[in-house]
Amino acid sequence: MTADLDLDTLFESLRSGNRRTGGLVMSLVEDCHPQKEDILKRLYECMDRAFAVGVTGWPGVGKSTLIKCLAQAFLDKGKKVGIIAVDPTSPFSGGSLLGDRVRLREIEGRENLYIRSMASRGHPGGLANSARALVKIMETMGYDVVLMETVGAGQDQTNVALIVDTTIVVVAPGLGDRLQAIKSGILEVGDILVVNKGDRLGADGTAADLLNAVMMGERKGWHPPVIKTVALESKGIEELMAEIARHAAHSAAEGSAKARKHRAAENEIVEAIKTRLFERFFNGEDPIGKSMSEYAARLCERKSDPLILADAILREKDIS
Amino acid sequence: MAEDPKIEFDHAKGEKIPHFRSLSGIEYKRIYDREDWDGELPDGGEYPFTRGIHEDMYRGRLWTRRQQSGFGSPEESNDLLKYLLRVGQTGINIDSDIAGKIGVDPDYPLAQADVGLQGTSMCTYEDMAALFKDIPLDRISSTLIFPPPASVVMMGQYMMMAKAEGIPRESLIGTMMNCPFTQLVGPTFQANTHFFPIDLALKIGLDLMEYLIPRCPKWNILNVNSRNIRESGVDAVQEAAFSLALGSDFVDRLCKRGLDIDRFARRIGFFSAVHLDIFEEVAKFRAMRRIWARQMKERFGARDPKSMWFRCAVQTSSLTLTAQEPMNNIVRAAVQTLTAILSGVQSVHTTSYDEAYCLPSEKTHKLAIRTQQIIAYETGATKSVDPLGGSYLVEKMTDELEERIWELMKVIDGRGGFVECFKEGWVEGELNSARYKLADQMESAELPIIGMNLFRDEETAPDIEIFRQAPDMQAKRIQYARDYKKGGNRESARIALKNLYERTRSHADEDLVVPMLEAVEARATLQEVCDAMREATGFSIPG
Amino acid sequence: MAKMGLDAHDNGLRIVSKWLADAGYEVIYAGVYNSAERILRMVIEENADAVGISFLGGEHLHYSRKLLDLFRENDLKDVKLIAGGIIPPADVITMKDFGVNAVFTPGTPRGEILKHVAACLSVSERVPS
Repeated sequence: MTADLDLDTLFESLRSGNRRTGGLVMSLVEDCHPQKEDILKRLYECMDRAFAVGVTGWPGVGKSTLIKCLAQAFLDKGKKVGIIAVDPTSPFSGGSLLGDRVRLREIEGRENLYIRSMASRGHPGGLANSARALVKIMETMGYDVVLMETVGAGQDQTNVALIVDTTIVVVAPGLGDRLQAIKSGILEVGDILVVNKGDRLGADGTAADLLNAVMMGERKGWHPPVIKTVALESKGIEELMAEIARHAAHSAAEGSAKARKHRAAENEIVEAIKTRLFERFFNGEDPIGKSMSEYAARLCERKSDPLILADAILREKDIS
Repeated sequence: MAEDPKIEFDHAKGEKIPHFRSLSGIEYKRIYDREDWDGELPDGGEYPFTRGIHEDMYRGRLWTRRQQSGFGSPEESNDLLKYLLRVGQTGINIDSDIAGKIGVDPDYPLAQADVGLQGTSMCTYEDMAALFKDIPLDRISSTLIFPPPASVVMMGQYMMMAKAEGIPRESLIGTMMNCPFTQLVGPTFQANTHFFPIDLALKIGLDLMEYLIPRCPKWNILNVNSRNIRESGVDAVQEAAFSLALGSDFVDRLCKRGLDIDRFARRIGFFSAVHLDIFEEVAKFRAMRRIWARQMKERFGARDPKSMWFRCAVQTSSLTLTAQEPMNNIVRAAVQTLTAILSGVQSVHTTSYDEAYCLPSEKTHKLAIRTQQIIAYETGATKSVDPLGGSYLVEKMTDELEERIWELMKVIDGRGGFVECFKEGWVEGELNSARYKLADQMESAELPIIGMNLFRDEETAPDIEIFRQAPDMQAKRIQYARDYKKGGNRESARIALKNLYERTRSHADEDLVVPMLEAVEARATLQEVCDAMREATGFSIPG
Repeated sequence: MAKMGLDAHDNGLRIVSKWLADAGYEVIYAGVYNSAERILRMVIEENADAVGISFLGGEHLHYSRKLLDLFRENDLKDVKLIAGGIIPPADVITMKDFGVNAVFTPGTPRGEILKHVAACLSVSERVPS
């Protein structure tokens, strides 16, 4: 893209809900378009209006099916719904295979629905940053609710949790020891805990387990409810919608939404500083280039440590 | 200027194959001897049937030459059937197009470009009658490849046709594949769950089995399709374990309905692939026979030896055939066919060499049939039962595969059975890992494929006749379906469909076959019957 | 990456999708049973640069033409169309003539597919890991 875009026309088109423009602008902010900053400035001029719900959990628990049910429920209430489906990027190739749309197929094609896939990496400034921008774009297009699906339970997911209004963590029975391992992560970000595949053996046990953990944990004001669903049969969805509404009301009343947004904002600033520093010192070039494999080899053989290597690289670049 | 001749393998260096592993990773030993196997074998036709399910195998009766056939309109397919019978086919194998299998008519929007391409386009009773015109149903057996619920509609139409010809139900000979999990290639989850609720399809399939057992005692009620599983790239062990586990799952469900295993087990068969690793494949079939026999006897308490038979139809592998130098595929298919015979299977479809280009033409079908006839009559492969039995290699490999297959079956059992594994997505996961692994092996030539990744000749486009269909075939079929449904005198169909709808809505746990057959008899089309049940369960199909 | 119509033989589609992702592309996997309209909507929502479609049963001419027509009607001329699968040599030529950017038949090595896709999209190839 060489020609400068007319942002006024662009935003007028966005506000009219034009899908084509929406898709284009989303790509512009995901990649590093020269006018990205201007676009972001305009986007963030508007107050947050859309209601964002994050849905996270390990692969195979039924997140996509659950999101499909939620989307259907919101659409039936007359809302315009956007879905952002985040799939992991390969750490090795930098490429990604985004397969969530396939699982959302039953609702695809509905008029007031927009589905966008997103890779988890390759976002300067972090995943949460790009995700937030996408939510803003959908909001500008007129979408009332944005459902964001992420995988796993890591730093990325924690950051995403900060930018949405409500985070739902989905588990399924049969996780066994894995559940123990990820419990603290779940409790840290989960506003609502869902045990999907609730008709399976072990579902009640898993639900009880989570309830216990919630009781023992410290969470001021809001105790995450534990809900059983069978997404494949659309069971438990009404209850889940009710809890989402209840949480929204609670956050608004208590002001925790504000605190969360504040934390998110702090996060974003830190990420932005990191991005800027990187850009400024390395001018967009790969800072290490050919020496990387040599350094990596040294590290593998435990002949050095990352900080020492970092110092060496920075010295080489005349940065101390 | 004369070109230097290419000497790829210096005489001093010699030529060797890259490794000695079988397709499923078993390492072939340098040589096998008594140390590897020194056991006893049962007789042919003796439990656990290692050497074959019959005492005299092909000496008593040759396998059935059963080429899958069908394309375009029922009339065209009927012509092809007659041609195949004329050149020596001994069993009929009806393959409908995808629309037929998933229970939609040719005028269904998403079907319109696929009508009649991968098999015969058929949706009405008149279509079935046209397909089988002049064929004596009591003198030649027919296999019909349909999953439930289409299987019920097609069975109904077939029975109506037999009745019109005065052939009693007790004399009907053939097979309805009738498996909801493995008919639609893959079996990717999407393919098997997008056009009908899977649990209801499974239940209807079981209903049909229960319906047929007392009424059509010579008719086979189920074929577990392990070939489709294998052709996604899994190995022999997985193919065997998945299909035997699925077969057991069906038997379990039928037993739980209160049926006596000795009344139905002999009516269940399998449909497998045959690949190119001769000895592994032979061992695979022998192991499968043993395992199935044990399952039927020990797990399900069968007493009649016929209930313990692992009856198997095969089609030679398509995955191993190439687009490069397609004539090479004739050789591959011939070797695979021979392998099937050495394995003691009951019927064979030899895949045509133009598999990577188009549907078989009459010419390539004929060559496939001749391949089978040559093996039957000209080689010694049919003159003695289980000719490879007693070979140290084959027996050792049979034992080894049997062990691995049992292990995997235990894993599946531990996870709740094959149906559960399928619904959970576990099967899909296994298939996906296998297909990527195989693709890598084909890329790297770890799996050598002559003409494709080894000894590849950048030739000009192969001289191959592409089988093309009549350009107006699809339009005609689509119009036919539309006209049929708009036609006069459809009141009885409407009443029967309404009844089916009501039954599905409020009594889906009771038999659904009878109301379905009533709708078929009232001349409802395939999609009309299936839609009644879809609507009753609120199931919508992709637009 | 999508299959159109009723054919569900998705082996090739899955494998090539994975090869592309491994080569660094962002691949949106649309699976089977897609209509041209559905693919159009996906292209718009995802702002895709290219569409890959796979065929087995002989429906390739019908669907690739339909897709190209839809792209033209919706001002998406720049979106590349790449096809693969069981396509007779004569049809490969026909498809390229009416605008399909690349056609890959069975047995095409991975390297060749990646090279041509990169060329179609005017991107430099990354070395596959």
